[in-house]
Amino acid sequence: MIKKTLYCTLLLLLIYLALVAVAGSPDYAQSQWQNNVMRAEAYLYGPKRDIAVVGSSLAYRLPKRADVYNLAFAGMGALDGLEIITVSGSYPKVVLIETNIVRERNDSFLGGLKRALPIKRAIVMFREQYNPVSVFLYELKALKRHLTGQAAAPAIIDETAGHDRNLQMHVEAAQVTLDARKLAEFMEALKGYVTKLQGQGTKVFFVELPMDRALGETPLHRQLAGSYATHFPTGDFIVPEADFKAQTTDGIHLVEASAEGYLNYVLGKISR
Amino acid sequence: MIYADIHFALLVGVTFIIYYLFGKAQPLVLLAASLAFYALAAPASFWILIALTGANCFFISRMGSCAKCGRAKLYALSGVTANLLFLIVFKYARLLNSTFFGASDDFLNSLPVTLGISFIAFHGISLVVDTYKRPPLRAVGALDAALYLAFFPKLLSGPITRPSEFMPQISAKTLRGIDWEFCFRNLIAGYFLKAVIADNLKDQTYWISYPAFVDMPSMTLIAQMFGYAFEILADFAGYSHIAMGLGGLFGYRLPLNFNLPYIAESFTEFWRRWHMTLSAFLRDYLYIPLGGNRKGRPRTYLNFLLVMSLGGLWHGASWNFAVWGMFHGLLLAAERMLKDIGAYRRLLYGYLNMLLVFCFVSVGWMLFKLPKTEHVVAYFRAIATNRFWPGYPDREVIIFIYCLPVALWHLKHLPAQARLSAALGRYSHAYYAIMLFFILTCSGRAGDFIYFQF
Repeated sequence: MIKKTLYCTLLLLLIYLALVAVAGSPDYAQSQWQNNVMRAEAYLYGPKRDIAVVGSSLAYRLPKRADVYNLAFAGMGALDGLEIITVSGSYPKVVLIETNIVRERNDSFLGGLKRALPIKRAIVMFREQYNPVSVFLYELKALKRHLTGQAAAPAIIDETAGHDRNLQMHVEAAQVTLDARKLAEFMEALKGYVTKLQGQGTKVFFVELPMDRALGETPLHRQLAGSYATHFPTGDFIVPEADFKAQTTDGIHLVEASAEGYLNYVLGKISR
Repeated sequence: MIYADIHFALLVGVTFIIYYLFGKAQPLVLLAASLAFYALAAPASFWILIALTGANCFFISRMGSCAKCGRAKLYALSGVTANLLFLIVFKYARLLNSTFFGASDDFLNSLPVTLGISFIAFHGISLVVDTYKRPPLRAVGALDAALYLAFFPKLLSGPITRPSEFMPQISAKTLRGIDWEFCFRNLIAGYFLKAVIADNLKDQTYWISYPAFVDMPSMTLIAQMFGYAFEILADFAGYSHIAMGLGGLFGYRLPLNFNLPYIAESFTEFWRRWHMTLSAFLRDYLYIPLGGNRKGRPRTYLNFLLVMSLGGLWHGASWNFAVWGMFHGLLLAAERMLKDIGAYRRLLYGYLNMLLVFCFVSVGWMLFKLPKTEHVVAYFRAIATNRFWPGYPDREVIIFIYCLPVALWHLKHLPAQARLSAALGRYSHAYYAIMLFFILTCSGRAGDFIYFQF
């Protein structure tokens, strides 16, 4: 029974390998975690990029573009994206670092990626992009589009439902400042990455994403702004101008149109 | 350290080689590996495991050495008390602190939360009680008793094994004695349930948290609720199968812990199929000593409530677990009451009962998932009020996909499907191959087992 099972598994893997070879490039993610892994793997195994964005779920909302690679992760932070750039050895011309949220490096996430690096580089089928359930759902959506002859209409979900309640939660949370030692450790780690990037000829910009005005004056955000200014006195900072109009879902996450608008604004600043 | 961890695989591999190389020292090798496993998994509470194991070994050795001195009962009582004390101090200290002292006592807050303490303490109770009740067990040595308590495949989350099941298995093992097929089947089924089903469902049911669910549509909320019912089953049954497979590699048979619980046609049957070793423990060490059903109907119903409430609280140091237990106690008492007055009927060959039991059990899991009872109320209020909101069809479809294999596993074993089940049995290698294929290509984000927190 064991031998038979192993032979059958091998056969299934070979069939799937052949299917993956003709499957194209599906990009359906079942969850936030899978989306994060897919983003990271696409950077690790993909071509060199001109501009990369690193940060948390705030920067994660900036739209994907051919010239801008979004390496920001929901539930994680800038250090994770910077570590992936370093591991890949593929340094972009410009890196945009989101400054709104400070998070420790997620070593368990990064460890998983690094351990799987050799096998996933060699056998494409094991990459998260080719998770069979994701591929199935991707193809199902494609079939639905084909049958209906149009792009699947996304469900109309009011992203801003609960805006006030969530904003209030964020404002309350931002009344508490971060532990000074931990913040200093974060800044030192960030400085290490920035130095490494600059050593490779990469230009680094620190980007603050627009948030609700109520959050801008909270102790936490004043502490963060002060800490960035202290640790990177000669850094290039991009902040939203006072008249920049942005809408958020909950006080911190930009809605799609505002995210698009703000990316254009940032790219305009860089090009100048 | 979790069971999908490279360090764990190394530990098992190295232990396996040494274990079969040094036949005479097998119990010692296994005990050393078990302690190393615990030290890696929970270094902060390693000494608590040592102390509790030492205390239990002391009490049973005292019972063994004074077979006729009349103090055996005293040692047994002291042993039970010691296990309960460890449980209270290292599991419930923070709950007691927040309940009685407004979380202000720094000493109680500083006590480490001990990984797997609920299981270790229950094994300890089982050891001293059974040693007292069954004098032949008093001949058991300290090494065997320590191995019984700390055997690593079952150390953190069971199955709760009785000394009478485990002790006779402690003997010299050989490679030829391994039932490879048994181990292979259990390990594949266990890792499939955990890594493919539970770990993928976990990212969908993650949203059952306050206030994330408040603005979600009813359909999505219902899908998440049932998804969680399948997730917790896959998570815990997966762990139990892995434990059985690992035990088998070292020549030990651990008892079955889950027997298709969602095809139960009554709440009583559900508890005979869900976490079977805990149910048996509660029955033998709590329900029967309380009088069981021998002291009249009202007392029987009260015993159900009491046993299930305590059983609920055993799961976690939070009052919502006691409420969850009480919920099941009420269901069991109501069911017994209906049977007692002759109003209990089976409808539609039991399929309607099955559905009803599954729905109630799934509702109950919300008390498990959400830390506060008011959040559970808010969850069901959201289901009632968000009826016409557009849903998250993708999430609902994904939940359905991952629940499907577990549902089919249950349906295959329905009595009406006996012929189908027998026919499929001939091709078991094919569906084990499919499971292995999905373990390799479709595992979710590896996370701790839900029951590790207990």
